[in-house]
Amino acid sequence: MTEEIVKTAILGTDKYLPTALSEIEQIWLAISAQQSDREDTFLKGAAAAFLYEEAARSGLQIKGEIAPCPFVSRSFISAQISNQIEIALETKNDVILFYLLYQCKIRDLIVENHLIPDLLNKAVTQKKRSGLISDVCVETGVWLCSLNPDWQNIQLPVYDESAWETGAFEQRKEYLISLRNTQPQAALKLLKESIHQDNAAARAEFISLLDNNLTLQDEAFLEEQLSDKSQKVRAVALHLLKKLPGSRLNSLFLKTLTDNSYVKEERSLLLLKKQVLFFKESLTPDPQIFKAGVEKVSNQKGVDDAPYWIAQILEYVAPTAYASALGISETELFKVLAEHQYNDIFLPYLVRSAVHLKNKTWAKLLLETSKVYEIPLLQLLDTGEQESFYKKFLAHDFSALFNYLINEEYNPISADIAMNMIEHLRSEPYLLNSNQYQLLSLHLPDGMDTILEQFHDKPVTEYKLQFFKTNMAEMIRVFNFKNSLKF
Amino acid sequence: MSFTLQQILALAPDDSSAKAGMQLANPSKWLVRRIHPLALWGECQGSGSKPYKTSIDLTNIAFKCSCPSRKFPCKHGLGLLLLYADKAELFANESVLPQEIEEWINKRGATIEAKVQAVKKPVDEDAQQKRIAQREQKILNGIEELQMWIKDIVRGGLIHIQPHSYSFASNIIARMVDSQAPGLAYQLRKINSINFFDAGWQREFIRLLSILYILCEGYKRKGVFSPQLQADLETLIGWTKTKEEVLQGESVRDVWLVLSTVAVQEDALISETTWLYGRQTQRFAYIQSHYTASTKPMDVLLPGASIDADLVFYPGSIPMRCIIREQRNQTETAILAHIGITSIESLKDHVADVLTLAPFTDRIPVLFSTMKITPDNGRWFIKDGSGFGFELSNSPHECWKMLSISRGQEFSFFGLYTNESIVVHSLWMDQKYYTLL
Repeated sequence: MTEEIVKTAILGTDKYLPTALSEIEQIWLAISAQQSDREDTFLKGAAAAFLYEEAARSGLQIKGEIAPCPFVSRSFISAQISNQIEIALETKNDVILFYLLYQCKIRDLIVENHLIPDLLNKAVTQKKRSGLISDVCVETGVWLCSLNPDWQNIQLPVYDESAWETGAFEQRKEYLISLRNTQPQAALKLLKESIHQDNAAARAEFISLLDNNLTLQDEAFLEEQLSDKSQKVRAVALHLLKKLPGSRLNSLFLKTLTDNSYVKEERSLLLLKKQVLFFKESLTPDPQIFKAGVEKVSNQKGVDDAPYWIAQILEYVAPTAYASALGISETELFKVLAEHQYNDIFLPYLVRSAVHLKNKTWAKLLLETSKVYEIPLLQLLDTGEQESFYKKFLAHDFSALFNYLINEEYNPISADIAMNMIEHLRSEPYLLNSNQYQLLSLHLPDGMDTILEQFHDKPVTEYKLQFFKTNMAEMIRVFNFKNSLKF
Repeated sequence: MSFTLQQILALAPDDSSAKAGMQLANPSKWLVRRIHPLALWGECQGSGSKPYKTSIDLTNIAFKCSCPSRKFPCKHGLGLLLLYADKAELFANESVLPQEIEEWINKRGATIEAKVQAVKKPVDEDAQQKRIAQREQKILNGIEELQMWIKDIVRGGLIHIQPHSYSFASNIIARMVDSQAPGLAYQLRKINSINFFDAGWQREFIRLLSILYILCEGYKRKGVFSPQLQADLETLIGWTKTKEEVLQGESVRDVWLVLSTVAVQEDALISETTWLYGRQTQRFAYIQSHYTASTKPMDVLLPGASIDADLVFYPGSIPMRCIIREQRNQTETAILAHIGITSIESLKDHVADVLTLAPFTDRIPVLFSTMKITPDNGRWFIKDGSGFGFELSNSPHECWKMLSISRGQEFSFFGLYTNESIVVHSLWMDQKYYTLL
């Protein structure tokens, strides 16, 4: 019926007018019988037809059927926390949002269902936090993700082995990490069986995960990867082989060093003696080391090729093995290298060596020098040992220290360091932005409120201190907020 | 009574006020926090030397603040209410209202009473009749012009017009405003909401024009219809009644559940519709208000709450538009599950009944229960137990939210049926109320 009306409307009543409208035949006849023009007849008939259709419209038969969400047995967060999460979402305050979600996660609580779509949208844009979001949305989140194509790439919790077969890249990566942690050889086997099916970027990423629990049992597989067609994959495999103690390449590096260097005692200040490391003048390394990535020509001004080769090799050689070959202790080796005429060339490679080989002794020795400020070295030390270096970092690279201390587990910073950081911020308030001030507040230990208030109440003499004062007020608010939460 | 975050944020005049209000929902910002059964008040330390005094009338939710902000409610009002919703225990109970607040609350009650009395002022009836007659003639002339415009379109056919061009309906809309028929101008503006790049736009276009044409015909012959239908026609054309006139009518007392509040902004003007449902009378009502951002009405109703109130309805075949004559209190969030239509077949009957009584109704409020939401080929549907359903015109995000709340199970909701589709405003699930818009 309405098709006839639309046809008439498109063509115009000058050209066409229906003789009858099937479902409102009587009404149409009555309208047509009136002494009126064609347009009047058509418009009244059309109105009647549309009204009739509206009043008699049945629903559509909906074929789509979705299975209901599985039952969720975990407890929901309190109404107060739910409100706060909603506020954080509304105000786009990610600092508070992720803090609240983390607190839910460690308490094994889940968020209310009405928040989940907004959180999943957030997970799409903040991929690094998608794991945390998945943890608080649990089965309802997984169920919704299975229905919405926009959410299907969100990293979901890994429940079983099927994640490797059917999961998204991030899920597969997570699975491989956890397998490598618990069963290193099973992870290697899994990679051997299926790595050829992945693209170059994924292959490189998966191979790099073998770094954890790396042993000589991985060598054969890594050697095979040196013939991969992807340069990126070859580079990752080469890096792991070079750092793997006892591997063909690592042994070659060690041999090159030990064959070409020796330690000799020299007199110093007439009476004292000191050990000095020498490298043979006729240093002719095995050409294989250049194939293994050692650069042949020095790219550093004023540095000959030989010390440049040595520096590159030092990056991958275990200090214990090298020291033993030289007949000195690890600490003595560090000392002779630090006092060497090319120590400036060696230092960055020694830092990388300590990081690659997770060498705690060298990490500490390096940090004790006045030239090294590397956060990865700090990470190798115990918490107690780390704190003794914080002040050194604070003065030299506040941002690096801040980024290191601010962690996803919200572990509190010690009161002493926190005080020092805030004191430092008072003199350099623009080192952090407002969000970072909030984040710092979430990492403060209990009892800091009075200290924050003292800093807040200090007189403001410069313009930049107004910024500091405003952020102190915000830190106090966030600190009090954190302590008032009831999950 | 307790308030939900959603309810309070719905009162904010804009996003920045909501954000600022949330930042002020912090005990350290409030030097004084007090609660009385009739009011909530506090003192907020702002940038000035003296703290701002903020008060909230808890009976008929209204805000008062000594800050210079023109926004209503201001961030202090929102902050105070948000703080109360979050940490009511921080507010000290008072048995006596401060004099200033008591006077403000009494004055508000007196204002409503004054409006009821206002109509009793003497009017020059002859002059009034003359004005009405003059306007009636203008409207009839406008109607003639509009009908001729519509006929010209259908005579030549839609293939010859460019309805998507900016000036297509602007002249005739202006003519209807000149003819003092703003209702017709409003109906014509609906043409602008048609997506002319959609295949099949002609159907909606001719539907609008034909209904508009028959509305004009109906108005010209309104004398033959019932007084209720006459009132419908007059309202649709643009005749209005003053609040004072309406308040003279019979009132209906009930506990009214506030179903939803929807605000639509057109240029600087905001049109807000608050839908209500009477628990005893089982009838729908809506309050319509128009304001600019700086002139938001003092009275606010919180979606999800219930009010014990006397409503006075504007006349009509199915009277729904109303004014609150007296509001006694606003109570806890009410749950309205297992009430309303349970099948699409019943909806069809309901729509037919409504259109029989009021053929020009363009949105029909409906309460549904035991319905499910389901996506199908990128569209969203609400469906009953037998698998029949209607398309939803909510945004995809709202639909995902509905699905997440209901988890694929049956739920109850309030929505508006509008020409082949339903827009869900609020829903109830597991004894909780959620607003979507």
